[in-house]
Amino acid sequence: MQLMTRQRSFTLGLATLAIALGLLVVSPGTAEAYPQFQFSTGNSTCTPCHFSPVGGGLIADWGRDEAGDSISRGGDGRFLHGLWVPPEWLALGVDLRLAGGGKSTDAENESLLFPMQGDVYLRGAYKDFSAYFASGACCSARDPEGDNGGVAKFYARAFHLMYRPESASYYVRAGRFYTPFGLRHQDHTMYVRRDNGQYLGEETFTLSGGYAGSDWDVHVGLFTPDPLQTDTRERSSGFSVLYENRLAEDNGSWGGHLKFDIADRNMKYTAGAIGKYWLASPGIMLLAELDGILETFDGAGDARLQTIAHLNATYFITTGVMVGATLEHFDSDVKINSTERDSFALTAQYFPRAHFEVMALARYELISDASHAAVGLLMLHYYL
Amino acid sequence: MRPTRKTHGLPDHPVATLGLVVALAAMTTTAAACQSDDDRPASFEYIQTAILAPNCATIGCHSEFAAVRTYTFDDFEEAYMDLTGTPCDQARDSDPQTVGLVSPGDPDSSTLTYVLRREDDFGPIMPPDRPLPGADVDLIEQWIAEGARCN
Repeated sequence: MQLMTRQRSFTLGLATLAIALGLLVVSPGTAEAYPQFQFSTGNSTCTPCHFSPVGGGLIADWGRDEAGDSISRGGDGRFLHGLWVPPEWLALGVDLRLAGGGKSTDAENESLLFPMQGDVYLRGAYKDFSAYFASGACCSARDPEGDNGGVAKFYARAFHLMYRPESASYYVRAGRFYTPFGLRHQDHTMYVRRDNGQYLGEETFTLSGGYAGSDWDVHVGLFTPDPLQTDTRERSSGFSVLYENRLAEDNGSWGGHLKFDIADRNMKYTAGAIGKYWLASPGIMLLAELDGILETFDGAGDARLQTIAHLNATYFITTGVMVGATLEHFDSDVKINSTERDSFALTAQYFPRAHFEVMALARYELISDASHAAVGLLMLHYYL
Repeated sequence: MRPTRKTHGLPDHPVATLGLVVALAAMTTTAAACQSDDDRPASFEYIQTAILAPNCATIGCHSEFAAVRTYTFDDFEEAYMDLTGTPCDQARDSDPQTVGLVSPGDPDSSTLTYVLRREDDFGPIMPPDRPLPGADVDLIEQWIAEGARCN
């Protein structure tokens, strides 16, 4: 009986670890940006590589060329490796991921290998208007004992209609997407995303507009929970403003952001700063973000102040091989003891050819100076 | 050919910006030295809003979307029902019955406490990708010890 209990617990442990690792890497690969490539690849703005004015999502022709020429060790970055060229008004994409890894906490050590992502992207354009859709797959590694089954669920993760004149730098778009905010890393488990309302599934119904010029960007967004997919995560409404000013030498930028969220039982006021700097020699890209979040509760306690600090450095050892280190700090209530956590992560990304990525991640997290969690992950990523 | 752009006369602040971030992080650490004892309310309204929803109701876990093991913690009423087995409106003025993940008044025998601390090797700690800080677990235990009311 005890053996059965242990086996059941072990199975449950593996299943739950699958969820944990799934959460780590069911991140949209090309669906979100690699902000490390801004400046370091010679492009000072998001728009040459991405259709989205704030990066992320399907990559444009220029970005696909960069994938073959600057980032990876060759290859044809175009859709279907260039075997078929879609008409100019149409852009397509697919993301596939396979991951394996291990985790260690104070109580356990586990390992697992599993498939985890299959996303499809579609964009059509007519004159200055475009329509974009990205499917989302989530939770492919689900707890098999859950009454809701153990299969992947799909949802319309992002979609929008956008008006952006080709000859101008301003735009307006409306649909489901993250309101422009912060560094916008591709890894949703980073504190600057997870604890800032930009975790997986937290895209909102957003009306956004802005100016993305050569010297500076400004983006504003009004957002509310998705009324069509009420079971996804975002619950708040509000607005955000993001400003980014590029340096005269085109080797970095500084900026700031504000966000206001209101939900049924709480409100959040967020202010933060971002910095990006490309050290051409020795070739190190630095990214930094600091946020302060004042959260108030409706009759459920005093307000709390949260802080998030993020520092990321990446270095291209050679073409196609990028290594990085990330330090993060998050305190969910600065006035209370034992509510903080610190994370140190090392990454190595290998881009052998356009369309292919191998990523290794090792992350150590210290939780309120008392416990720890360590994760090692190897991910194979292919995008069409 | 790469896109080109004009330069402008704005100040060059890269080191200052990064330095500001580091300095503010240091201020955060300094502020931590001034931290006080936990005076947060051990009420379910606070715990669900400030701890359970942001940490446990991620889209792949105990959200309405995934509802792993049928538990959903992103809605106040549903979270209370899932944890205690008692509708919130029936538990405002009396202790809920012990049919859920918590045993009112007895945190040591509550499943919720067990999975949050997981001090043995029977399965993963919760949340599996990011365990809760000790102060948050202490607060949840205090709520259970005080009767796990829907307050």
